[in-house]
Amino acid sequence: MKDIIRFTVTLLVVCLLSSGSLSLLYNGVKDRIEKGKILAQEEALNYALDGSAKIDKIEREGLEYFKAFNEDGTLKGFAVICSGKGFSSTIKTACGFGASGTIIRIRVIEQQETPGLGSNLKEVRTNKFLWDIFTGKKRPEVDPTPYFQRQFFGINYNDLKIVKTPSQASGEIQALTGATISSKAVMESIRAKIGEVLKAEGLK
Amino acid sequence: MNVFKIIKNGILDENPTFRIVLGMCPTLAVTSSAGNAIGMGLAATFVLVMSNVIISLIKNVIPSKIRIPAYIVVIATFVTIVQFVMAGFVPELYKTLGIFIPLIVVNCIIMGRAEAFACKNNVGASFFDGIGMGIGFTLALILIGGVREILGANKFFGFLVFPEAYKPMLFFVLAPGGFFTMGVLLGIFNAMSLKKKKEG
Repeated sequence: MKDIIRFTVTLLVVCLLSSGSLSLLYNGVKDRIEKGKILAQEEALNYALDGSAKIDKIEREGLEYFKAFNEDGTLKGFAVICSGKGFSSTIKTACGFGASGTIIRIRVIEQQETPGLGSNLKEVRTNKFLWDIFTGKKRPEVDPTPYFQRQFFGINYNDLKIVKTPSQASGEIQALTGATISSKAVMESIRAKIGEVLKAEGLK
Repeated sequence: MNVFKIIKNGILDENPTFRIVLGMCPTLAVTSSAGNAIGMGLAATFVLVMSNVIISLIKNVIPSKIRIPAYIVVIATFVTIVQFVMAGFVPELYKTLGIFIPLIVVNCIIMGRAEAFACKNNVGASFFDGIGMGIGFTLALILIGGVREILGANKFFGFLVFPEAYKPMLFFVLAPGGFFTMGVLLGIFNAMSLKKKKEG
């Protein structure tokens, strides 16, 4: 009996100390974390729209998206955060598209997919060799856009299709090697969300 | 207390990955590239050092029958601290390492060192044991990650290694390649230590 009380009290103290210090710390960094997230999201949406003069936030039927205008007041397009269930995480993608449903740009903003496979969603192709460091050889700059995401640019959402081996047809997105599920999750979340936004806007 | 000996013990004689073969789950999961390996290694080192220190401080207060749950709480607390601090101050790094951080809780090297070392030694020795084990773990991860990245993706820390004519063997980046690499490396290290024993 004495033991039970002693064990309970010891564990209670350990847990109290742990949760107490963690909640103090969390209160201290909470604002920073939230601010960082919002900033990253705003930046990604701007990128996905390829810049615009004015952005309105619209909430309709439980759907949240952004409407972007050119400098002369004409509609540039829409931007939306799409999220889809990947292999090991929810993948969030910022996607900008025009009134016809043609994608402007996309950017994956959150993913925790398998390192080395699904995480290649954000992989950039390189032409720099290890021995360039020693020989000092300069190579031409390469496209800094992740190659998987680049495939979406300029494609209409109706044409999107994930394939394993490309056949030159328009709209084909080549799946990442060993990460078909992650690739599909991005494509499907974008296709569904664009459809929803266009429907809400009465454009479909 | 021989600092040098304790650190060397963690890197060579009792290397957590190749000698005591602990923490295989995160090892296989994150070694698809050398960069990932460093991230995981450093984060685990921090937690290892901190939990070793705290556990050796509280070892006399905690009754031995409930030491395991108490240690787990200590370890989980430090993992969460790392997570919060990184998310707040270095969000970019946190994004890349995101998945590794929670994985540290299930890393049995940390629990193993708490049980085998920290609860029997003083704070100083436990601190250096954490450093040594952490370095040993990080180096082992970089070795496995390097082999897998070079063979499986033709890259090392993101730089190309062989001319484009070399088609990378994707197998090595995938899970089976992890087991394969791990097995071959373990075999090599065992053979080396057997030979050393025979000669000695």
